[in-house]
Amino acid sequence: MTKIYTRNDRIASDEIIMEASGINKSFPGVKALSDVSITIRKGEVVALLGENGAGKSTLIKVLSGVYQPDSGQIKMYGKEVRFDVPKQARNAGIGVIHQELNYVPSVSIAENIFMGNIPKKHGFVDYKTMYEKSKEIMKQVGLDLNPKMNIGNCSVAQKQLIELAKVISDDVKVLIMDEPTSALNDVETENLFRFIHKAAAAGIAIFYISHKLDELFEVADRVVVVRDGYVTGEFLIKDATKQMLISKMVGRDLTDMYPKKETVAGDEIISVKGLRTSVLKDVSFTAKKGEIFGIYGLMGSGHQEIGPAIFGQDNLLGGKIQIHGKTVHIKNPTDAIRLGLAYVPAERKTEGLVLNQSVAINTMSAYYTRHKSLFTDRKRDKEIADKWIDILSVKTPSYKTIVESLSGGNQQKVILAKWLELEPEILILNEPTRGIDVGAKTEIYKIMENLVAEGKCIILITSEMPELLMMSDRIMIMFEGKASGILNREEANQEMVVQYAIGG
Amino acid sequence: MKGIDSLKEKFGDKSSLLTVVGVLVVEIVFFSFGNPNFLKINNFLSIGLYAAIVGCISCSVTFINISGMIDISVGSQIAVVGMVAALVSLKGNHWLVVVLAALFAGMLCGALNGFFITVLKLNAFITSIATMQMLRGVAYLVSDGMSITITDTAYKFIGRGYVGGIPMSLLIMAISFIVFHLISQYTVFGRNIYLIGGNPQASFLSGIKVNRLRFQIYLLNGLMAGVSGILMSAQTGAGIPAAAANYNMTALSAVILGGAALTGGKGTIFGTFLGSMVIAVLQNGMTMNSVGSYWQDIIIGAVLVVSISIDAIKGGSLKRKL
Repeated sequence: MTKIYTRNDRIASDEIIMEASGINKSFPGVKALSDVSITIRKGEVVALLGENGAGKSTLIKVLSGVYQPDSGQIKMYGKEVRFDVPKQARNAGIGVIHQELNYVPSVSIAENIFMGNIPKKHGFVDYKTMYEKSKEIMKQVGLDLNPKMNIGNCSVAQKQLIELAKVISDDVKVLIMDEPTSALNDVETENLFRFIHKAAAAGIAIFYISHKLDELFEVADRVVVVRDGYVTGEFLIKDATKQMLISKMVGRDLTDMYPKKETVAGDEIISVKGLRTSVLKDVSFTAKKGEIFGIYGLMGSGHQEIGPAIFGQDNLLGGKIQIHGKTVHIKNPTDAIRLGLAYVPAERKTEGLVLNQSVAINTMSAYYTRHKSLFTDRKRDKEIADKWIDILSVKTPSYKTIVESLSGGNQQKVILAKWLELEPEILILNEPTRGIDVGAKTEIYKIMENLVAEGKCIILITSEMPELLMMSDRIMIMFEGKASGILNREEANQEMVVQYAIGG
Repeated sequence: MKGIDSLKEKFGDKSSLLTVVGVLVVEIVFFSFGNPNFLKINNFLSIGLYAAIVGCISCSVTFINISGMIDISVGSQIAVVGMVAALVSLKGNHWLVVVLAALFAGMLCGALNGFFITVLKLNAFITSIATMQMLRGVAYLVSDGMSITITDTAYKFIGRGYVGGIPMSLLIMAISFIVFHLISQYTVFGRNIYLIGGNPQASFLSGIKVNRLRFQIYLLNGLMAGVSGILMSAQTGAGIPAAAANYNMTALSAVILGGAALTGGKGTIFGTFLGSMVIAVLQNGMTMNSVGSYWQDIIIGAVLVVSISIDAIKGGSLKRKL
């Protein structure tokens, strides 16, 4: 396929459209952005590159008015602006295409385009104008669809283009695109790039967020690399190499907040062969007693699906799981729990806890899956809850406290307590420290280390590089639903892991 | 600060019970001024007698609501049970056989709902709209729309008899409330109902077989429709196909008054007991004070909407944007 528009066809002008300087943003326990400065010129495509959690999302939320910076300045056309709500940013000409598209699936394309702004005539919906305008708007992105069509019937790529059309029809000056190609195939990606080049040629400034390195060389003029909330590098794409970008993405100092010591792994306890689900394509690995087996991947690589697949939450399409060398059939979490598995899900609030119930009831929620009984026992509830509150130092006023009112770290400890009471042999921890503060993180790492010292096996699924490297004895890296590499603790380093995570 | 915390801890989600207790007290005081006979023991026994049919089914409807589901077909289920009881009795069967047949018919109704909702995973509301109509049709079909008189006095004793001066119906309701209370507070089954209602996904991942439990709850609800249907047919001495048409709404009102949210995870049997007493006292008091039946409907609806409004406002609904 020949490219109609390429980077070389245009030269970005010198006119700076947007300039953010000295942006700082903190959340409880985390500094998300530290003194970040970034500029974009008319017709320029600036890629934002960084690992999971590097600060890309926070930055675009600050630029689009979702978050307000703690300090720093945003200028548009040289004049200082303040966005207290997203609407102000939109009115100033900033359009965002989110990774998760926003649309109402059950209504027409036209109604989605004009949502909240439906054209009217004599108080009634002016369908004629709405459909005509929708056609015009879609034409700008090269779509020729019937505007009366239900948007739910469109492909992901079409929906994305419709959203793009909608955004640019508002006279957008700066377009922010968050991982726009994560759900597109090659042809659709090619199409999208063509649109991006066209939009840039028309003078729109584009922030392009991605961690697919190859794409950046096709689509961007300039790359800004962020890591741990700092801008660590800025390159014109023609001067950049993959190696340079990777080294700027990683190379952070690892502090001693991670207590992991060397442990001696024992016998193999779980073996997974050819695991397949709707996302996973042939995943195989083994893990041993006394070992932390880390699994890493970038968003969408499938690493987060491995826990649900093994634990019986998702339907398997194929594959074999063996525990202690015996093939097991796990149809649901009940089977998994009775086989000695435990699973801490990635979404603490929606999957891990019954939020309106107490610490004790949550601690005991899996108890009767292992211990058959007809009756509950309030004394036992209290004893077991108090025991784990003490062992894991859960900060809660009492065992009766509703878990919703606890902090994220303490909620996570309640989930751990629920499983530890069942003395599982294999613990699958999916993003165990996501969204919890540094102190609680360290405590959770200590708990993990004690568990492996007792001979338990931990499968640690994480998107956080430091956690992965410091805690894991071995590391499997996922790319597009498959393992792209398995590394030992000694040989693993950030560059290698990233290399595998972006597909070699 | 600590004082407030511990108070909250103590009353927790019972705080909404204060509203329903308040409403009940207001009703009793109000009606006792309106009619001197209202406060007599005999009147309270007759309140209990009339409350029994809806009271029994409200127990299991509470479980349905706590588990995050809904069933609006209970009125039709009760009608079907009444018809089955009358038919089986008509054939000259012993009253015990009639009771067993009626309970079995109720459980079949529950299994029907349970099948669609837990196996085919249909929406519970829509499913029970459909079964409500189907079962009502069945109730008419079995006797070609005619009522069937029950002559067996032993069977009718269940609804009309007194034991030690207390109506049988009232005793059966009392036992139902006590048993359901014990199940909800002291068994794994009861606790799991709260868990799946609070968060089905987290419960599933904790090894609770959510669908099986939901099915069992519908089956139990059918069983209680059996109990209510027996009380109804024994009290009226007949199987009446058009009977119990409003009972789904009355039961649901009692449950909601008692604090079991339709969103699941919340509610108590004690709350439902108070809720059904609010409705029963209201109906009795209005009848004794010769309030017309049109006005009774309006007032019962108003009490429901005012009570839940008080709770909603206490929960900060006026300050919320959506």
